[in-house]
Amino acid sequence: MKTLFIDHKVHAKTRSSDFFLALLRQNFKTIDVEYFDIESQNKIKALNGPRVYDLIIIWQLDFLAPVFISLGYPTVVIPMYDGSANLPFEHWMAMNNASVICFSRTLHERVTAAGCRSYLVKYFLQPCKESQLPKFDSLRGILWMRRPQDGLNPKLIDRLLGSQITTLHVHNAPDDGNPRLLKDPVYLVKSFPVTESRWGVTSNDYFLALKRANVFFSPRMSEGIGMSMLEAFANGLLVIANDDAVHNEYVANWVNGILIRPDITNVFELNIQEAKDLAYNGWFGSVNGYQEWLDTRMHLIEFIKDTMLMPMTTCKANPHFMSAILDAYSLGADAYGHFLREHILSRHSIEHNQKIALPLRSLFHKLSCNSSVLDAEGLFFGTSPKSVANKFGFDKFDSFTAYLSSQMAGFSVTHNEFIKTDSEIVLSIFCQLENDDDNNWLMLIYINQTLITQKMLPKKKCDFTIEIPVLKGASSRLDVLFSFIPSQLDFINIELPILKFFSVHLLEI
Amino acid sequence: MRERAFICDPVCALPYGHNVVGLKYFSEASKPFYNTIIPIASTCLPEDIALKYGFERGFEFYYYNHINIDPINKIPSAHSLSSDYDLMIELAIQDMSTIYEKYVISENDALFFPCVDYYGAMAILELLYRISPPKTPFVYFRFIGVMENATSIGLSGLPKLLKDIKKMLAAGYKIKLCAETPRYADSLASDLATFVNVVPYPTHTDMIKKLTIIEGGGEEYKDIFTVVCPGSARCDKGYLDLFDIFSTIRKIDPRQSIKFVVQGLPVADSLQHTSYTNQLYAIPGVKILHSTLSEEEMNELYSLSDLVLLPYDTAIYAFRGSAVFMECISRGIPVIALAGSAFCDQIIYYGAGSVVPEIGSFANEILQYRYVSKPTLITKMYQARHRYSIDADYAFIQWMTP
Repeated sequence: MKTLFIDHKVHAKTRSSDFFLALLRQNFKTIDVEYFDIESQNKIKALNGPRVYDLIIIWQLDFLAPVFISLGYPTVVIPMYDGSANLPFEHWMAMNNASVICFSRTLHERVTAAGCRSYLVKYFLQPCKESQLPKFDSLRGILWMRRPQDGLNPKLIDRLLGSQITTLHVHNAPDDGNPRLLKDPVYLVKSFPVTESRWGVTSNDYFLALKRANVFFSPRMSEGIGMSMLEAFANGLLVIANDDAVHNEYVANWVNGILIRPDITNVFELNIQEAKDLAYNGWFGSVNGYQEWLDTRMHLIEFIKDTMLMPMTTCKANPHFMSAILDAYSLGADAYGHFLREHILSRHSIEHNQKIALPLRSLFHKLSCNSSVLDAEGLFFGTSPKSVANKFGFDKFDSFTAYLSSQMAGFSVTHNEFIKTDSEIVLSIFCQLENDDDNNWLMLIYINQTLITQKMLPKKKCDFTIEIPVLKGASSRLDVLFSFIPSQLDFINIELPILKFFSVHLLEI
Repeated sequence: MRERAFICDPVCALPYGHNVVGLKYFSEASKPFYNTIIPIASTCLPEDIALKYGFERGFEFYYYNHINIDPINKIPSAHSLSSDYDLMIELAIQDMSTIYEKYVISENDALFFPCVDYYGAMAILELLYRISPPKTPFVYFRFIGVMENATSIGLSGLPKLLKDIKKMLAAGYKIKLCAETPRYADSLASDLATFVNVVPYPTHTDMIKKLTIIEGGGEEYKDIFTVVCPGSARCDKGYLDLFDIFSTIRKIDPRQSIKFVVQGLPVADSLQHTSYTNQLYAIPGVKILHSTLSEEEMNELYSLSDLVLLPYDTAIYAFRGSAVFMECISRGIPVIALAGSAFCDQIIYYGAGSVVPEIGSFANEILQYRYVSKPTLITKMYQARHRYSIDADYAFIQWMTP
């Protein structure tokens, strides 16, 4: 079986998926690895050449899964809580033909509710020997300062525990790559001395500091697997972590660690014996947990292999589908959810998918809407009886007009003549640009997930018509999608063109 | 020997849970008394499960308003989704009439409801009322305190049902009554001014295995003592109290000589209790199983149980029995329950476990059981099972005898 493992480019450096890749290599004959960079959107070779893979395994980049699923590939997805927790339910429903491996129980619950086949893994690292457990004669903290901007910094530790901590080691290596000045008043503490390390040629300084400490402050608000936390458990440190997944799936509060909420938790007492007992519970949990992980691995491999037996979709996606889905994903959960609902999940499939939990089915029943019927009089954006604007990416303005409100916008129309006609027809959309815009906006226009045409928006205020050719033999329902790409790639600060949409007509050429 | 027994459970629609098992147990226990046994479940019960157990499927599901089931193999009829009382009664009568006519049921037969449901019971009463008493079959109603109360209009159905039963008894119809717990039987007897037997689960061959396995063991204490909370995880079964119990033990027992196994909440409920379940999942030595387990998986779960916890809501279980308790006593597994539930009387009477006054007492009681030697515990549970099986089996025979 030839397998492709697709991972985020950053993991080529951090190696955090290596343990899983090693497991795959032990059990699958041929594993190719491709690293994908979301920002540069490098082409995935598997999508641009002959079909050579039997199985696709996607680590963390779960939004890529629908692309492979729609091409009929048996697909395994390994999402991470910290990246995917806030994605809409449509995201998981679009993976009903995939197998999902969750390192988070919270994710597993959501994925299962959406009707997916999911396997829950509780990963542990190999624990140290009991004789190597740290001494608890005083409380010596360690913090890998990865997200100081979230408030997980020495100041927080000072506020919560003050002089109960005798020393704190700060591994000053934030995820943004910019070490902070610990003498800055934002981080400066007075209750205990602070030592500091940074990434060097090796990670030795951090591990040496970990061995000297006995209280570990988890460095992020949430985690996908929580490797540094698992490392702390395995080395017998008391873990103190923010109360979110996956921390709260490993730390039972005041049983084998302590959960905090940086914004609301007040100062608390922590006596040394109690800290020692909690840490011991955490370490022993990793002793048994590690054994269970070892025992789980064969089941996990079987679960992956069984993906080959799952029914595959017969739908053929086109090469542009991937850029469309990436565009939608980059616009946030709402736009992404709309996109999936409109383009992958039909109303019928949501309502009749018995695997989806009942409360979700009724939720989606309310959300889904029918497409508008286009006739000789055309359709209007806005709230007229024949309006099309009740779709995503548009804000209604008046009874016949809608404003563009996001970089991705779309609507659906049906017309019975699309299939029958012999003449060439176009959808004619009447628009108005209301502002002068220095930016060069490229508008990509997709119909039924196929890129049909692209057009530069005018730079000066004007009325204009967008004409979209409708291919002969098109289905009676057209899902029209606009994707607006600015010439400046500063997506956060850029302002949308003020673009009004008035009406849609069908023209025969 | 009488002709045929129709063992009817219109609520038996899900492939898991106690309805399937109950229908199976009572069908088999009825065999010595009848030439033919015909178990009839809901039309919503998946076909493969019905085939596996030899169940007919004859009843629409009348309880969509009460039980969140996916009608996997069947689109529900508009009537069954209605909350109109008269429509539901009509639907149930129609189902019962179809069965009555299909099998040409006569005075030589018996209709047996092992866990009475409101619409099923009302339908058969209505149907029999149209026939003169000597020509009607024997009807056996076994009350367990659950679905006899379920009506589509939100009011308890029991008073109306009891009123109709009383009327039918007075008119000479052959109706025999029993309840799952002594407390419930006494309550019904008082309401109906008639005898109401106590009939728990009859012992079944599936249940006997556990003690046989224990007998073979030689060691005094087990290395790992497994405490289990079986049955569908539900808030009224004390799911939300488990963290306190488990975490107390874990603090006392960091080396995990005591392990916990619990069934998780169903998906629809679990989304509302994610943080709580995460905390349960985070306790070292706690395993959370799927919310629904097949009969085989349940049997496996029982086979690894050293102790079972029943911290049930005492208001909800004030008259109710516990299928899990009956499974446990038949298998020789001790239980700890929260005082107040009706089945606690049976636990105490048979010496089948402990009853504690509050949730905070569970941990201490678990530790007591952990350090009772195996031979002592086996002897105690042998005796409990011996007394229970004599009572349960005799109670069933006595009740079945016309």
